[in-house]
Amino acid sequence: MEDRKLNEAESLDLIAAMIRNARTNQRARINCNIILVWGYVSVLVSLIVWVIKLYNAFSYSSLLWLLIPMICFPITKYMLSKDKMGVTSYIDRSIYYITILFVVICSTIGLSTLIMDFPVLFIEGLLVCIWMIIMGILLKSKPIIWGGIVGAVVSHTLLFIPDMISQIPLFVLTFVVSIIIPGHLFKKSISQNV
Amino acid sequence: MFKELNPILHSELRLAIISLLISIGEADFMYIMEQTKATGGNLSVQVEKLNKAGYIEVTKSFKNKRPCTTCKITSEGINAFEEYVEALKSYINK
Repeated sequence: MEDRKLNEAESLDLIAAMIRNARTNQRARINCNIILVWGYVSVLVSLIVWVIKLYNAFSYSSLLWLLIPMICFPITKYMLSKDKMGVTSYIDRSIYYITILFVVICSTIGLSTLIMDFPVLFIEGLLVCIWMIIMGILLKSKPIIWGGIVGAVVSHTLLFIPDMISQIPLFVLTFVVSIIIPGHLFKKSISQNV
Repeated sequence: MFKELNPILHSELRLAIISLLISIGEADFMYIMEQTKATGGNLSVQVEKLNKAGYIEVTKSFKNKRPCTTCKITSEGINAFEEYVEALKSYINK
């Protein structure tokens, strides 16, 4: 390509070609892997907390949930640094800031259980599902949107279970239906979409 | 009545750069070079012209210990592109 003047038709053709080249969901595979990392780490940490609570091994076991952002953020950063795409779309930037926002909100809510008592797993589960629905809308992925909706329904059932130990398996199910299953379905569909 | 075409955008390579950035927002120099199939020297001259016009923002940084030049479209660039397309329409519909 050179620095030459174009006629009107050539200009329009060039604009169309460049916009076609710059498909906005090029990062879909990376975004998808990041979603799956968050899903699997959340499930793993929740199960560890559940086991510890079950055996009453550590009185502040709920604090272990903070391991989720502590493990996932460095992995997310690493995955983004290894990305050779060289493109940051509006979608990528929105996903990044929304993720930070939700992690900060979830961590703050989690920490506030140290000073007050409220149905924290229900609120956290619901927030995760809202986060996934927003991600699904941005990534234009129906499985992620529907996973988020189903997860929100599942998280509501947490309100009817009185003690935290019994709530945790259902909380884990929220992650499975809202993050892991839709994440894999989305990953499967990427090769057809990108 | 024909609208005047913005001379900064009415060039093959500069228009290609802006069209790319309109849809992705931000891209590194290598990606733009790949997509436009321009030479590094020519591309950096055109990027500099767009930067001087305020249509794009150029950031130089390091990624994986390698220098990385990132180009980001500005709101001024978006407005100029929209005006350019509007002006083009007046020619096409003549």
